[in-house]
Amino acid sequence: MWEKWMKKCLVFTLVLLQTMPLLGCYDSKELDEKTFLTMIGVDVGTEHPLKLSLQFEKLTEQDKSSNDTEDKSTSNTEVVSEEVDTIFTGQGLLTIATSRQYENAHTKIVVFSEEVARSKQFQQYVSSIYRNHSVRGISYIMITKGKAEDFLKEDQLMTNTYTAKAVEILMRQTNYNAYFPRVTIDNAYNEMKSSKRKVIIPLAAVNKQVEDSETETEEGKNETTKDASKQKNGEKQPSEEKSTEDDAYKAGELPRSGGLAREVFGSAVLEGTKMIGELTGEETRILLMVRDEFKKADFSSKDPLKKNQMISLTVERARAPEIKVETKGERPVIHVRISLDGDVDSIFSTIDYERPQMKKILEEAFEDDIKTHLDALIEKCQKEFKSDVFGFGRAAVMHFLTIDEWEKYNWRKAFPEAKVITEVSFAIRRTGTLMKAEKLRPVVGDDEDDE
Amino acid sequence: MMAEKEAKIGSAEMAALLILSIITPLMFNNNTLARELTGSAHWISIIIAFIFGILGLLALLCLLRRFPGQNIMQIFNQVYGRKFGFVASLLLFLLFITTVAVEVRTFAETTKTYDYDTTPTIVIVGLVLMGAAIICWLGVESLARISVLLGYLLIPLLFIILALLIPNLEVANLFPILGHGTKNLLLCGFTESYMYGSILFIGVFADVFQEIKSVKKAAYTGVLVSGALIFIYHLFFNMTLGYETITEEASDMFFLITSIEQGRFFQRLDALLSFPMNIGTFISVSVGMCGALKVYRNMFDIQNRRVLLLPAIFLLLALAMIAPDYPTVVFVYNKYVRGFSIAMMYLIPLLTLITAVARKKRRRC
Repeated sequence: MWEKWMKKCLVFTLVLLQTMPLLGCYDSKELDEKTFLTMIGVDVGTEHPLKLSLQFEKLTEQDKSSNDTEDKSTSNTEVVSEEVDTIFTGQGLLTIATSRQYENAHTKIVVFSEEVARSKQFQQYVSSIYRNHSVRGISYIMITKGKAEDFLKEDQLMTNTYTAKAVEILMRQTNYNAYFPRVTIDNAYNEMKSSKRKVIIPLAAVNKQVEDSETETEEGKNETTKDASKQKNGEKQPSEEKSTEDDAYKAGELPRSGGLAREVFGSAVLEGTKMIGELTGEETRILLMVRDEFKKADFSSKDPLKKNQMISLTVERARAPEIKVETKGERPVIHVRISLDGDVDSIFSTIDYERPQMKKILEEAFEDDIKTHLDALIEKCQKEFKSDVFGFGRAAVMHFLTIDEWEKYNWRKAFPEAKVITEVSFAIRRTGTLMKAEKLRPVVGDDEDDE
Repeated sequence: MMAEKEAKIGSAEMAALLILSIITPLMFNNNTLARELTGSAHWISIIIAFIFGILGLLALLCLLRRFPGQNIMQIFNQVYGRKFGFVASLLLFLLFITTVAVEVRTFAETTKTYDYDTTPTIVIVGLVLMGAAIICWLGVESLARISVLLGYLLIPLLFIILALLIPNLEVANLFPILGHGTKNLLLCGFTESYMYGSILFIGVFADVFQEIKSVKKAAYTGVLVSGALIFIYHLFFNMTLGYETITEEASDMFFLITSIEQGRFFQRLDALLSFPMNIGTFISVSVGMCGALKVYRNMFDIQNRRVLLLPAIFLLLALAMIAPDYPTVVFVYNKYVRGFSIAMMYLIPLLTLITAVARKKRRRC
């Protein structure tokens, strides 16, 4: 009896002892003791190696209303900056600004300035973030033209809803416009060290045109009227000139007004451990097709039968790109085949491209268009960047049995010398809500101009 | 103190115990050293390790078939005599006790790295050991029964986690297909077979099986299911990271689970790993502790295992806390314990079998 009672006592004591640490005394986290970071910005400092900017969500209604001034009144976030030696010691130092410990678990984007990205230390900074367990590997990475701090401050305008959700929406734009890649810290870190594919990182910027238009007064409005009159007289705007030439817009250069001043557009190309070049939004779209990261986007193309008219298409990935690499010869030969499907959105000329025999003309014209852009991009990456951002190395590596053999082949040196044969297949699957567009009846005299 | 009542377990219970004790270390173990040898071909070395594991199991089963109804310590005594049998049992005891100590420390360090960064290591280690001691108090029968129940929950959960990783997989990461060469693959395959060291528990608990054919069934089921899970896990890890960075992760499983991103909503699933990792560790550590105590009781002919629980906790706590830091656990302790495990897994059953055949020893009825 006594023994049984003792046994029960002992088990009870052991269970009780075991439950005590489960109370979480050591690692308990109270929400109001923490400041939840949404973005981290890294710039080059003047007195210290870095200037760290932290964007965080205000937790209480009181916090939100504390900074109510003009347009920023709707902002849920605040940005604090400080010159520091390293990112994480900087976070410790910046707690002085909030009296709360920073929590990285909800950090959505880490933004590096172009100056930092072009420095040799870039890889070290990415590596330090990757190593720290508090920042999640699925957080996004971005490079910004100008200062990261400015980007973080401009981004506040966007965040009149839940910041984390807003960032997710921002980054998932690429699923339907493909103007920039979606790259996480995990992807960036691992591809920086990869011998098979080099990393690209989305480029962001604060659009000065939009920023200026926000502060423009009546004087600005007059300028716009002048511009309008110039346009009427047939003079082209600088941005317009660019668009008709080659659509070569880069981040921060989009000729727009209104909306958020910050924009994510195009991508930064990295070779080794630092940024070496930049791709426009259009080039990024083509690149994403080869990297099998392209989902869907709208394209405009010249009408093959009426060159002064445009055709608008919604293009989707049909199949994964087929990439084959021959490594036997003196220089590698790469075969790339991209397969796309599309829907017709608009045909200004009203030519009946819906008919099977006419559809072929449109498909071939678009294939040629994409192929021209693709060939130009490959040449740029081979000659100018010498960086295999396409991931052709992933196909090449399959011809090697051991890591030693692959390393000796040195894909990094072989890629710029490679002969690349490209092929694009495009099929129009649907023609929108119309199966035939009857000719418009123009005003007498206008029909001649159209010809 | 009253004598311990001998429990009886079936093949399903033993298979569940075996599976959980083989796969649990997978969730927090570090594989840097092995992957340095194999690179992109680590998954092939896992197949080789499985073949070696089966060979080790066959040797053990041959031995157990020769001495039906007896555990491995009784077999040692019969084959080697009392003195050398004692030494063989002592080696087995040391293997179990060091394996448990390293396992619990690795678990604590991983938990501290990824979850509880402020909690002292000794608290986490002590907590696990106390939990395991309670399970040991209840006995191997209770442990086996709860393992079956939890096995049905944890094994599918692990398969779900692995299935969620499918979008992250990249076939090109499996190339160059032979990694650092066939020689390294074979060597790594042999050393990685330490994962199946838990099959020695079959020998230790052989006398608690309801019938002798259950031993074989439990052993094959346990090794096949855990082998399949281990293979899929390593294949997926190889397909997630290229050979350039595959050696870097402190905990493979944590890396994999934190990289799951199924849309905007279905991400940050670390908590999902906490269940199999914590529960599995309690089961796995308990099996190791029960096994070690059973060997010890046989060595010194102690009837009641419960009197050994408190000293066992202190001994394991002391052993687990010897390592000054996590890198020492990974690069020094793990290396030696794995080597010891391999030696015991193959040498002990094989040597004993050969000696038994040479000395014409069989079970005395």
